[in-house]
Amino acid sequence: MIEVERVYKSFGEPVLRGVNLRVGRGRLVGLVGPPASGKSVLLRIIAGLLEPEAGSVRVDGEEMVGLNYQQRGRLQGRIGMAFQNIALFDHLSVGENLAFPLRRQKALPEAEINGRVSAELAAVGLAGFEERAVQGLSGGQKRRVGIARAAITRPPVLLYDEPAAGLDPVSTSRMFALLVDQKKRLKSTLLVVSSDLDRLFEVTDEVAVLHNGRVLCQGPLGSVLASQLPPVREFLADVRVPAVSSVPPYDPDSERAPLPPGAFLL
Amino acid sequence: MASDDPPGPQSAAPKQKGLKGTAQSTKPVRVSEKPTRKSDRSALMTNEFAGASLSPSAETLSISQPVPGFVLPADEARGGPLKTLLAAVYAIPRIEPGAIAEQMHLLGFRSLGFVCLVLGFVGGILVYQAGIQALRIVPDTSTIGPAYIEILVRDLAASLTALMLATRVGAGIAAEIGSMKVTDQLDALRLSNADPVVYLVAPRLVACVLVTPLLTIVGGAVALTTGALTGLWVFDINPVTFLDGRFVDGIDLGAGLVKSVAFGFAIPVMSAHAGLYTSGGSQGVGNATTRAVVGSSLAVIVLGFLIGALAETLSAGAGQ
Amino acid sequence: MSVRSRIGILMALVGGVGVVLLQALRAVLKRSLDWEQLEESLVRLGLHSLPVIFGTALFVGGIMVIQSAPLMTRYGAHSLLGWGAGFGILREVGPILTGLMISGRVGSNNTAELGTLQVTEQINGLRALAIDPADYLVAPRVVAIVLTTVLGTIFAMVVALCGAAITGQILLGVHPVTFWNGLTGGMLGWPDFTHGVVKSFVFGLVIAGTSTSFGLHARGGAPGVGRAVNESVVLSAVAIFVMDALISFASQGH
Repeated sequence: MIEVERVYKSFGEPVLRGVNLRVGRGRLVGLVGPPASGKSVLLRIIAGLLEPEAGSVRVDGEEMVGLNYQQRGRLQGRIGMAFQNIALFDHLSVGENLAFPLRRQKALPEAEINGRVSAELAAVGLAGFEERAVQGLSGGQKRRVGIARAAITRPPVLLYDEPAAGLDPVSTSRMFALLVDQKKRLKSTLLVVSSDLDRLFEVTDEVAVLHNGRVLCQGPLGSVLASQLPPVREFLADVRVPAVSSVPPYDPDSERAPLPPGAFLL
Repeated sequence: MASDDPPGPQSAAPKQKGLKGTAQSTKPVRVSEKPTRKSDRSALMTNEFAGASLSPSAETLSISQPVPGFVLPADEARGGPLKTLLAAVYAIPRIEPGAIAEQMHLLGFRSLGFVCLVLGFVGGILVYQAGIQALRIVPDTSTIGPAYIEILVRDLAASLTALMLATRVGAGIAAEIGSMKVTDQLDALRLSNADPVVYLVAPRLVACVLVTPLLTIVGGAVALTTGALTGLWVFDINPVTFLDGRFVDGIDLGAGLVKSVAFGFAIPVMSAHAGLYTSGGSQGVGNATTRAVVGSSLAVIVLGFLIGALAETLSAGAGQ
Repeated sequence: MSVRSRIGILMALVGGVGVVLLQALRAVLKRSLDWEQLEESLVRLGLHSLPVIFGTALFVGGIMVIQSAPLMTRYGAHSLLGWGAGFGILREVGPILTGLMISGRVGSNNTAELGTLQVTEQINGLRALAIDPADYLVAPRVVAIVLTTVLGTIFAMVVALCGAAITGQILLGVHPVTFWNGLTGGMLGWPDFTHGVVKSFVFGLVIAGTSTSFGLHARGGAPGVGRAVNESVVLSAVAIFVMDALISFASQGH
């Protein structure tokens, strides 16, 4: 689980001004807010890639802030992150990309690594892609590899920065179904930043709204939508309250399903 | 989108001063003097949204102590190239096997042709120009060779090789590391428990330090050959007369070697530094490459000047 | 790669550079180049390079003196220091080092900018707006870079001579007046200066053509831009030395 307390961060001007956030174990929390409200910065601070000027970040009870690199590296082994611009290592193949964190963290004996890689690829609907080069993949495929890489070491905490940005509606639905599937399968805690509010709210347990560098409210969707704070109401004005959650379970084979006539694969 | 932040490579094993162990290492510190914007703090206190859950409460903030060690993992303490150098040196023991050899091949072997080409040309040009001018003063060609050899050993081979490496190797390192930075691959490395300094910077540093003197020697030999050939074809100087190393003394040799090693340090450090602190997309990568080439070249020139001046005062002192 | 394909690539490169230079020439002759862009390029590329050139030239002048020092002390020819530093700086070191510096700074910057514009499709955008990239982008930059190189080289020569004079005084005790006499004493003349300036003009063309051409042909996002910069800088350096050799040998005795 993730606990963020009174985190301040500025790059010349203040970006985060006292953020409090709590993500319970095994929950999927969506982090939303207007552009440039500091969502990515917050995610990076939780991942230990940035140091806040003040505040504390605890992952699974262990403090993240103020560590030296060795301790931080150990803690980062518990965290998986999928980046907004995907950040796959382009000099490695898909399989090597996935194997890389396993090897670095010595999480598995060498013999088992390939098995885990194949299993993880299959779970995101990219079975058989181990030898493919990163350059040739489509945007959606790259994102799925990124998500597979984040999850491959079975980290208890997963951070996703705009996992569905720039994807078409079909891929977006599948992406969110994949997130739910991961939550169930890996029993991880997920913190997801997304601008696709409608889809996001269908899968989240809780929502946190970040505005102007502070989390204005956090809670189940219903209570957030009922918030009286003007910025929150403004931001969520156009959100349709989703019907009873009707997200179908994620089917990896659906990625290879025959396309309806007239459709094309991205 | 949050602003781009200059990253820093993770440091090597630093000594912890005052931080104990692992968890719960921050001590809440009551601060009267805040590290950032006082105005923002007070704005926060007064500008509360009524009813906001989890509103920030009182004055006590837990301030993280600055992480000891050379380079923080991300943006703090934007260091100069010196910091990058130290971090890379400390990272050396943890380099993966084979990484150095790989870099030596990429940086050294692949630059061989380029260096030989340039040094070959310069050798010929230099002998030609110097010869023409010298003949106006002293119509004696016997000292052209030895003087040329002295200049070559003392300075020219090392400096010119290094300048060429600065453009080829320096730009390459900055471009690679820089584009990895702007596509977040460096962060992805950190999260996979791979320190970019260990994985990317240190192997290149060691490889460059080893390769630069070697390339200098090879390039010097090529320049020597073309110089001798030019002497022969243009001025009819007997190669035996030309290839006379009598002006070269220990200080000259020492200066040349020290220079090439120093340049071998300077180029990858300046270039990796430029790459690590890239920001701003593809334009940023281009800027990083420029900074690498210019920074490396300037470092080479300044270091060359300093070492040369030192050598000169030494030899003057030794009564040469 | 076979020899044939390597030659093919080389010819494509040279061809690319040639095309760029021809486009620039045409735009200049037809006076259709974008003057605002030219002005902006001159300031950004030219003016801002002056500090780097200044610093480099100063140190290089000093290095020249350090180089000649053993010879001077050996023959006691201190009065010739001006001549010794002078001919090196005017004929060779001045143009080459300025060329390399400008290639490293201005050339790579140019490639980076154009490369970025290319990979982000902005150049196609320009064409879609019926703006000719040759007039708007290529010609102003080529002209600006050539001017910068020539003027920068002259500037560098002056600064380097000063640096040499200062170093001569400090390190060898050669009085600046002696230095000046050695410089102007009749063994060096305007032909040497012209020699250097002609070289700098050619180098300017090389740098401008190569950097622009590589920038416009960049492919593949941020890594592609990095690659383009790297390759263009290397090729410029090689071309500078080759041209230098050609010019030196072709102007035998001048």
